[in-house]
Amino acid sequence: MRMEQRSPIARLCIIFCCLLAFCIPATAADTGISRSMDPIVSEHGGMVTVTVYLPPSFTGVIVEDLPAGYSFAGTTHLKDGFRLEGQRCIFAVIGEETIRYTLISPDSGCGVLQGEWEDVGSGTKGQIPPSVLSVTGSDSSQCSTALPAPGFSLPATLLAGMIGSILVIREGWQ
Amino acid sequence: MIPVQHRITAFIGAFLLISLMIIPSSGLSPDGIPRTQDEIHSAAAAILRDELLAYGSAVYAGGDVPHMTSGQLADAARNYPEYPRRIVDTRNTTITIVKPLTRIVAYNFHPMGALHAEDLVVGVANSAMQDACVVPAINDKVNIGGGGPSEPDFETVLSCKPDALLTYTELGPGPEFFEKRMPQGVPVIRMDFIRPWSLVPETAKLGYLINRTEWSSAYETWHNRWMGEIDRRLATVPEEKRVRVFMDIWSTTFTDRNNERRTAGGGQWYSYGRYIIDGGGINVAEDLMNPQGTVDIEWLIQKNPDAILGVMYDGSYASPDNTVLKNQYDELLSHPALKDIPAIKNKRVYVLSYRYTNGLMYPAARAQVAKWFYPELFADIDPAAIHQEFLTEFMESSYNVREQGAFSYPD
Repeated sequence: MRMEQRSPIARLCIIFCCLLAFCIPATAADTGISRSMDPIVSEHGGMVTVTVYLPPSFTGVIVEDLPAGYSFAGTTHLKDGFRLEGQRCIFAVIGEETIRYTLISPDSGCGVLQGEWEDVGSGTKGQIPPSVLSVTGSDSSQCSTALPAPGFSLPATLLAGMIGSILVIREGWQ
Repeated sequence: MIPVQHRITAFIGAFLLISLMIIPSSGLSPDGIPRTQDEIHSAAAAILRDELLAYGSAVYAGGDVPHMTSGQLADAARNYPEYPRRIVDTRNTTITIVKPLTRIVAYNFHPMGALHAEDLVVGVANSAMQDACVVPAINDKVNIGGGGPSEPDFETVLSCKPDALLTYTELGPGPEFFEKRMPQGVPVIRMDFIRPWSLVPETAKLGYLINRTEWSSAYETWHNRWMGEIDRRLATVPEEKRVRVFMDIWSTTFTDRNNERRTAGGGQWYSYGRYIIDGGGINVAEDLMNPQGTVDIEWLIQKNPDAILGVMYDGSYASPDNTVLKNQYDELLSHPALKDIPAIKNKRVYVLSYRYTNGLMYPAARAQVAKWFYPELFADIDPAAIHQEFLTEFMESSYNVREQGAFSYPD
């Protein structure tokens, strides 16, 4: 059956489903898991406190990859819920809404903090958006280029999809 | 004046002592087995964190560590905080479960009745079927065969679609038969419930694992009450008045019973000699390191024991009466070579069925032995009443130990 032979409702459903399929990866990334750093630009050899924010029902693992040059200093997370393997920090989370840990900055330079999460309870996984850290007086532009370009948020994508669909129906395919 | 160093040492010593006294009361019980709801929840949190870290390490950091699948962790998260639960079984295997066990093949059925867990059992060994006179629910279970020297039918085990298998540490099929062939994720739990010293810890562990802690704790209280009472009375017996006892293990295969007997010395992996010690006696074969425990009849005569305690691999709840145990009693009393030893002259020969000693009713069997050895000290204790108490309170059985079964002889 050709597209122009379909009813407007069927067209709308097809377009909406396509958009939904596009949106699923974005949904996984948009679970409210984020991180903050204090300070983002630190003194050489200074401490950086990283806080990862999680939704209340999260049960799973958070894996943080520390940038080269930065070293792990400690965490307020439960002792038996944390493991450090090289530059990789693994946190076991059962309902905690924040994870806080501290890093020691190198003498100079910058780095990108990257993370992954997996909620075993809901069976979802994704990445924590990367964050750039740098030391006072260092050029952080080379690290910033490693960050992905910003995309559209889920509500904006859905809204655009809906508007597009309405337009398609009103104007037809021709 | 006490030197400063000594004062510091004394202070640290006192601090450590006080700390040790406080620690058990602030967390889990001293044996580390969760019993209360709070302890179960707190243990579940620690176990789940441990499993999540192992998973994170293996999946995200390439670590070579044993770990659960994401599906198992999802089950654990769904059943949290009641699960996961973890024990180390008697064979030192760590068993972790993520959801309630509901389809257990109990090749070892011993504890299931007392823990009120018959409903969780789908299959039992053929040898357990004889206990249907005590636990009628056994009749509704799948008979997987086996028991004694014969193996169960593995296809029947699989047909039960078990979520766990409970078997013995040494008796019955080994890891080649069970562990290596069971479907992935179905744990094989090895516990015996037949050794006096492990009855309480094994019951506590299994009670926790299968969510029957109220019954395992009740059993612990009952067990400790009677064992404590027996201990208290036996503590009053001076060393010089202790009965010197020979343990006679009934053997129909390895021994020429006219010229040799089988006994239990310190060299045996399974110390039947414990029954003598628990009864307040002195084992005349304690120093014997022969694993088979076979001794010449002349050796026994030289030991000149005050009493002989026999154990027979016979007798059960299904026996109509205790005459089966009389065979060993009669043989010892009529043995021509033994007629002059005090045990025979004074008719101090006693026989226990292995079914009386090897099980959760052991405090009753122990009371029986202690009463045989020191009748005046235990005049007001009725071992049959203790046994009946166990069956009535824990098994909720109408079985009457005074009318049926072969447990001990002559009483």
